[in-house]
Amino acid sequence: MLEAQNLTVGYDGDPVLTDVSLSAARGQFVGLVGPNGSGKSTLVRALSRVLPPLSGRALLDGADIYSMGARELARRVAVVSQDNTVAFDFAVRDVVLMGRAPHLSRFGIEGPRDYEIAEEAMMLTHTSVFADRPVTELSGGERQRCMIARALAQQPNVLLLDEPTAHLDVNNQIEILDLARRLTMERELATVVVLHDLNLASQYCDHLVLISLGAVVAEGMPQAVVTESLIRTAYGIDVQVRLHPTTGRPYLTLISRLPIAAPSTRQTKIHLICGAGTGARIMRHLRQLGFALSVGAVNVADTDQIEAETLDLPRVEEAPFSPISEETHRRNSAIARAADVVVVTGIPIGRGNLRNLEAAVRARGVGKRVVLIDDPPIAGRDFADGEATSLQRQVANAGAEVCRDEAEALALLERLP
Amino acid sequence: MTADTRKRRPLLTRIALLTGGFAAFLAVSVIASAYIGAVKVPLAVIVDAARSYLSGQPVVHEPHLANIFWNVRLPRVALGATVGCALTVAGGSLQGLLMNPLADPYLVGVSAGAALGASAAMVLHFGHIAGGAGKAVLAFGAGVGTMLVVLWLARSRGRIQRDAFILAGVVVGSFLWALVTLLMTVAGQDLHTVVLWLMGNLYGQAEWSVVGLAALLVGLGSVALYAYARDLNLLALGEEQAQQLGVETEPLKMGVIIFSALVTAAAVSVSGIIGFIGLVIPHIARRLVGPDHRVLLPVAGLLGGSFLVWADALARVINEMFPVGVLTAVLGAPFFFYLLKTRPRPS
Repeated sequence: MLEAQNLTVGYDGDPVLTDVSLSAARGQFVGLVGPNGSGKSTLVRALSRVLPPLSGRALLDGADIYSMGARELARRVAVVSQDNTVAFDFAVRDVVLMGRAPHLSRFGIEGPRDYEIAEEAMMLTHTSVFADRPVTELSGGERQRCMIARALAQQPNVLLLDEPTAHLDVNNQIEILDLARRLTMERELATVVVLHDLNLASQYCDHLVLISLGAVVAEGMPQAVVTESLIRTAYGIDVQVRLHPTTGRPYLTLISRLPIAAPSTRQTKIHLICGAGTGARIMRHLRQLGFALSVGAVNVADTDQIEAETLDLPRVEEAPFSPISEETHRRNSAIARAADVVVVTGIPIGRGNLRNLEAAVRARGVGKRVVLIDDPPIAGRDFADGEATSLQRQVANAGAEVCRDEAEALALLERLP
Repeated sequence: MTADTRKRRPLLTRIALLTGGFAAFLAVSVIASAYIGAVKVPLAVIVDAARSYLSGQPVVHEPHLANIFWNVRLPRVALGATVGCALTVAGGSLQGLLMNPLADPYLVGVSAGAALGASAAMVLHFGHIAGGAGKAVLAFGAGVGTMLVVLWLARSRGRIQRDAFILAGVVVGSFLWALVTLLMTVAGQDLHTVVLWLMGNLYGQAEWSVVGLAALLVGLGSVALYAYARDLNLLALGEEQAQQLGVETEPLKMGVIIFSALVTAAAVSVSGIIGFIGLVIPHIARRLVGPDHRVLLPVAGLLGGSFLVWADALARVINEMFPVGVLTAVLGAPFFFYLLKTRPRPS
């Protein structure tokens, strides 16, 4: 178990980190997050016996690491750092074998057992295939895996990873973190990983430590650390935090101070009547096509409402899981009448949102062009005892265009100015 | 040769085979090149002399020729082997330590210091002190002293900064070269000997006692440097990474700098400034056997020794007094261009 007790660390006597405490137990995957320059890498240095603390202690299983020799520590703690350039063209296998160095005497030479350990580390990290290639010829992701293999060859109890996914593509980021996570569990390592991507950190770590301006701002489960207010405190920006639908971990969406979507380049104003996630996709399409877009009436926390909020679209909202009220219906109808075209997606219709169809009927009544996306066909999504079907027939008979699916509707709308 | 074909045998076997092979090549080079020179020494005379030397009898045939071979030619060749070996081992170690392909043994400022010491001895006629070895002793002392100054300049807060070390070496070197130039302006009729020494020369240095002492220093220094071979490998990952892999980097830097300076000073004090060997030969060796310093350092040393032995043989063919330092530069620089242009892939 690795522990930092009230560590104050810095360079030339100037503290970069003040009074930081944290611990990582075996089998635990602890993430260090925080803005650039907050002191994450400095903490890794302090925990790897490279930068003696100004005060406080760094302990490994209760013993101060600065009272140990470099070799003794290297047998128990392995570090993969951000900078993984290698000065000479060592073969990958030779680099992995370097992980055995702390276990050898000064003139000792790697024996069969060391080769076995290195081969095993290369198998686990899928680096065996390029074991004989010069490390200088590897891509960033391959070299990172080679460095992790080297760290594994040290047979450590503790793994310190400093931004292992920096400069890597998404697929490599996932691969590296999956690997680190798996090894942490299988080998019961205490792993501390510095990540600058809060979504990855939230996704992978059991425990997060949020550092800002050289001090710990918050720590705990990702749900407790990745919150809108803590992110605002640490990074000084506004974000939206939601729970990931499948993992339940928080994830954040950045809100740019600049408009996210392209400015409206077309004159046609479209009002999109949607809900239950049926409008999210076409919303983005229409926005990308450059239409001025409004959305309604949607319940707060509905997928379509979230999407509209993310795209910063004008919208008519109703309270969560509530039927559309008279007032909301009035506003929805008004905004629909102000548009040039009203598009109705294939919403499941019940008593609560029947008024969305009524708004379309009204818009058609004042001569607005109405496009219905009948996918799936209305009969299958009419939960209002046939009233939805009859409303749709009514608006279709009044001259609304009925499309079989979203693609057909988009083909139609694309031609508008 | 690429890394793909490099990894075949266990390390110990590779070290043994490669070191043995290159040592044999050096031995053959020493003996074969000893034939080459202005004076032809027939094989029969050499064999005869060896036989009588071993049996304690006086030399029967051509004692004059035998004397040239044993006491002029052979020590000169042995000195060439020693100096070549010293410069290459020091150069290879410093390239590994500083992770700088342009590092060479003279970077440390040792050469400039030794040059100042030797020039002072020649101009001020200190040559006769220390039993006639005054020049070598002064050169050695000034070389080592310079290294200590550079080391002191490069150290701050208990750490040797590698960048500062290179800068300090270059600047101190330039300063001392200026002093050497100043000495040359007042050298008068000694100017010729000073210039000849500065160009690097194995002529007239070689007595068995000098060769023996230089070889002893170079041998001990090289063994000490070899003890750092694996640490130098780890250093290729970066200084911090090496530390996290168990290397105590400050003692490593201090040790490599001190021992390469000692080895270099020992070589320079008996041969002058012989250029390019310490820079180019480690690169060639790395191309041949790969970057692992445990293989690289011995192979480079033996290759460097062989190279200087043959370069000096060529110099002797031109003129017994022709400075071999000119030849190594003339041969070495184009070869370096070739290495640059045929670099496998940029890293």
